[in-house]
Amino acid sequence: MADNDIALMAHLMRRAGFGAQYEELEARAARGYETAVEELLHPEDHSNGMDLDLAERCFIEWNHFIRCVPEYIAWRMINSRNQLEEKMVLFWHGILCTADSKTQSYVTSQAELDMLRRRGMGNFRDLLLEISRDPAMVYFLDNCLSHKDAINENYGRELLELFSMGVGMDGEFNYTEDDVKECARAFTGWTIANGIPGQPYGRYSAQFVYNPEDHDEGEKTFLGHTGNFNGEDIIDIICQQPATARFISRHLYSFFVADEAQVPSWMNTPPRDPDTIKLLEEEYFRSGYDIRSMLRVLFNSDAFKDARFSRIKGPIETVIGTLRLVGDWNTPKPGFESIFDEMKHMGQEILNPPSVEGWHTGKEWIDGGTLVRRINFIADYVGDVSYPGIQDIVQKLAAEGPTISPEGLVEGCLRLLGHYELADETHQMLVEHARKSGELPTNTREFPDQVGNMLQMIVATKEYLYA
Amino acid sequence: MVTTEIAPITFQYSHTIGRQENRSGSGFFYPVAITRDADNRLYVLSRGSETPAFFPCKRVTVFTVDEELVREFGQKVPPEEADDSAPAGTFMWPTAVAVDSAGNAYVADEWLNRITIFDREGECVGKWGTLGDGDGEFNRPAGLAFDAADNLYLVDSANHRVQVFTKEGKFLSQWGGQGDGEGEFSYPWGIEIDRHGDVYVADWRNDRIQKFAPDGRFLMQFGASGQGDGEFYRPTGVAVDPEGIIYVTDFKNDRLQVFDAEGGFIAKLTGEATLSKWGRERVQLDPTIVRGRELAQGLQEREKLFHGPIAVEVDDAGRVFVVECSRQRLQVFRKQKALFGGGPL
Amino acid sequence: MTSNKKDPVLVILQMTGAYDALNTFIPYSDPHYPDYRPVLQISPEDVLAVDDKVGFHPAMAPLKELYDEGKVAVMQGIGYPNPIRSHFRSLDIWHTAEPEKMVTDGWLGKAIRDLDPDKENILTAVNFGRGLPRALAAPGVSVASVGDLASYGVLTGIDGEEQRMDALDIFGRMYSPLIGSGAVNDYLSQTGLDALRGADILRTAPEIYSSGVEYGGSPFAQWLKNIAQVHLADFGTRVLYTGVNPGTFDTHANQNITFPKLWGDVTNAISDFYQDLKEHNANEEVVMLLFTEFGRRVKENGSGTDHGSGGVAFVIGDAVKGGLYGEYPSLEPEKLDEGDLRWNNDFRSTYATLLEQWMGLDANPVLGGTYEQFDLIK
Repeated sequence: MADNDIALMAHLMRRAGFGAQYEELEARAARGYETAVEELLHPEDHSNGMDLDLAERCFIEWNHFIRCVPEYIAWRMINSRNQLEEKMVLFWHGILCTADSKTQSYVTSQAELDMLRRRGMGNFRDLLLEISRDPAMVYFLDNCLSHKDAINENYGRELLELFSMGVGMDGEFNYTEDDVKECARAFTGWTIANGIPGQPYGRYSAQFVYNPEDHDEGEKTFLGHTGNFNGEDIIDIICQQPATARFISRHLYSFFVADEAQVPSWMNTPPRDPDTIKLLEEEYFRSGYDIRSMLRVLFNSDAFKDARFSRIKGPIETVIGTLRLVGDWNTPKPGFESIFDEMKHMGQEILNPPSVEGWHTGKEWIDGGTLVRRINFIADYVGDVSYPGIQDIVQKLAAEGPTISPEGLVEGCLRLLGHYELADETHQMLVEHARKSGELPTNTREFPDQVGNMLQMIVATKEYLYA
Repeated sequence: MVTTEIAPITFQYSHTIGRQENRSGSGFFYPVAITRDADNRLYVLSRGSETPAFFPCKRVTVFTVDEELVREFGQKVPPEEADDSAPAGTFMWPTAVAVDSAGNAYVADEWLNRITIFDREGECVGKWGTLGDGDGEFNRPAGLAFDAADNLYLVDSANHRVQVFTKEGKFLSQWGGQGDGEGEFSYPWGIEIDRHGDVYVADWRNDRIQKFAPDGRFLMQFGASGQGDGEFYRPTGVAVDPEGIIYVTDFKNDRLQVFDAEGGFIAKLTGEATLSKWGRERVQLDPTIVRGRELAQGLQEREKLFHGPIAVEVDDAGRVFVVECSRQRLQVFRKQKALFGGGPL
Repeated sequence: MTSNKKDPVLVILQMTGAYDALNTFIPYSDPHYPDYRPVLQISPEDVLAVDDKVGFHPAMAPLKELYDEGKVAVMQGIGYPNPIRSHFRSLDIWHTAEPEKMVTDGWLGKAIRDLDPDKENILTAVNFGRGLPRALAAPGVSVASVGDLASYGVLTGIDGEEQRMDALDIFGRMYSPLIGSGAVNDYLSQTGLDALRGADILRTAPEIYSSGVEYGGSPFAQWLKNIAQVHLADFGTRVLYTGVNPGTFDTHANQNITFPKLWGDVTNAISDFYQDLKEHNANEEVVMLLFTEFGRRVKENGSGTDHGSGGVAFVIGDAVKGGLYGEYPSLEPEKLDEGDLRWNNDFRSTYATLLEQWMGLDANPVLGGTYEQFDLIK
């Protein structure tokens, strides 16, 4: 297997998944890049390999999801072979987001994330329709408080601004304040049933209700179209907009290819790669709004393949990726809750984006506190040679010969972490560091720790902040 | 002549016991097992949660059929201390509880691989257990039951077998092995011993119930994977009443199924829960809950349903107690027979 | 403020979990009080009364002592419009000073930006705890977040002092802005070097500190000791933040057992901290704000109390005009807000007072509005 095939597979799995150990990269690369992409795009054809029934038996609180939903989501991210399916949950959860701090009903959030998993690679129109009927969303953005005689514009506005079109494009506004109002009018009557209190028997999932009595049946004018529109009609019009194609394409690009500017600036900041965005926009219309088709175009594009290490990893990617790398949490044991502290302290909580805008990404993940936390978290894991994934790295290096040179150690570690690339100066510093110990015999008791120490230095680099 | 066909056995809903109580007190938190003592007091084991704020939360609650709290015992150990050094009387992942003829309660823990013994007052008086797959060692104990001679039958789940111990923990015998043939198991869970000493095991991942003679000889099996009558999706608990009627919690199908002594399907129950006494006490404390329940749409239809029925117990009066893991309560039913019982018209 | 005095310092003490206001600052002579609290009531003779109506919980004697010395302002009936009973959301509101909508910037983050607009001091603010509270977060604001001062830093997991020093040396060179290019790279380099430098400076604080005060063993007490160490080390730190771990004061059950112990630990630590400052002649330099995310139900649940609203907060320090501020909410059943104390004192008034009168900042841009201030700073 050629190194560059595995390096490309490592790139794909960091982006379309949460990274993978070297053997998994080899196995996927052996089937060919395009086949590997198709496997990721079609989770319905492949087992996720998770033995969820056994996990649920140990993590008893996962049953009916009245509690511990972040744990369940993280478990899937760590253990599902269908990595892109789970990655899409994170992608959409950062855009069509609700926050548990307001909704306070895990069972309802779980239903939303299940829907995002089910619809995440399907038709965008279906997804918008389902999110508009999603009880967590209806509550989170107050559509349940929007009535035909007293409109609450919150959902109507965010549907346009944050979920589909964005404020503007190429310096022009995409819609007017009147469009927001008309949109909100069309969604009146899309509400939820009065829920069952969480005491004495625990929460029940909230339920969507369409109340025709409370729907504004009047004529509406939205983006130049006029009619007695209901929510579905609005979504149809939204999906036809070039702005929607642009907005979704930029989100896909920013999440899978390279960090874009923060979303609020998109009206006036052109895409960093207009050609690839154009490719995606065309596929959006050609396929009839099919996200899977857009992803296929994206992953097979040269722009994607060439965009290695141009995205700063988010905290969830960092934590899940580290656990997958070292091989922790692939069987149930106590103490899973502690990884959520880690994500939180690095700045990202599953089910709790800081606002309806989702998380700010790119360099905004990093500040003094989160950087220290991130580096120490990864370094503590990769420095612990008792983890199976680290043992594998040690064994593979030892298998290369009775001794290993300083250059060989640095390059071997970088390769087995997933073909990481360092700036020449950084690379040189690590080689010099390794030279202090000279040529290392690989059969000594110290060798694993020497490898662990080099891994710790690598994960502390600026370059390792990127995926 | 008009004849009315009456089912030979029907089940009348009696009442609901318990509420969510994530620390301690009058309720449960993720209850997973039930047993009762000679005085017909019920013992429910709460598996609880790892969330540090919920303390003690992992516990055995002893109470009467009329929902009077008698006592509770046991508490949780934090995950980072959940190893062989975990203090006596603490639990990490408790799975099962059984009471011997002297009234001592035995609790199995599938993480600590430990049996912990509590006396009638709830004092911890002993513990034993070793991780392994040799005779007397076990890996993830999941079900416990005493026979009439006070021998302890233990479902050794990850070793896919049943082991028999004296109540002091001395190994007596074992049978089973991983597989789906007769007498083999796949991650078995609940266990029951009937009045003849025959043994019933919920063969969890094989979606069936197996019945054995006291010495482990295979007698019969019933069930298959599915959602139809007599089919199971991960059965967890099994109980047999004095007349040989078999009750199975069909965990992931959210129902209780009832079978005759030969394993023939009789009935399925999906839940009839109402507000329990402890539940009502909780509701009345909080005007927002009272109002919330008045406003709630579809409350009765949704609240009555089983959510995670995980363990079942029967008493000599024909009462059936179904533990619901996800709803932190028990639903109590009464078996009614079509036999005319005498008395006036 | 005279020139030989140091700049005023604000210490925030976050009592996560929502302490029970009614049993913290107790309306002991109100006839309704024992009715609401058949099990949890504190009998009048045990209350540490400040007047004939209200008083501190008996476990809070150290705070009562400071009150008697005129150093504690009790912010009664504190809260915000449309109270929310979620720990997370309510803390967010306290952190962002924005009850109406979800925003990302913290009120202190914005204050730090005003205190040090040119980012001259990487230690203008320091947090002690397991993660950075949103109160301190704002774009471009760097705050050191310390779990344990003695072991704070990058790559703490590397065994051996020599190896670790070696690693830190390389780390410093790897984060050189000369390696790589572009604005993002420069930012990452700067952040890495700041973290390294901040840790280097902070590490010296325990070395130069000595004190006759013995703090308790709880994490909160140790963090307050860390705060004393950092303040006394003269790093120019202006905002220090710590608290108790999530859920600590969430006394749904067994409140009679846990609550006195918690307040005992917390108020002893505060008293120790004050004595420590005093021993070092620094007691006039610091004002503390002690708050929680919301109050609890007026009616107990038999063993504890559930989430409610309407709370009480405390401002503590030599510079504080001690006494009662705001009004104690009525316990009349018909005056309760869905079974909760009805707030009457917007928390942003206390923030505004501290920002302007103590820290010398313009409160309006930080809080996004003007709020009535109390006359509580000397």
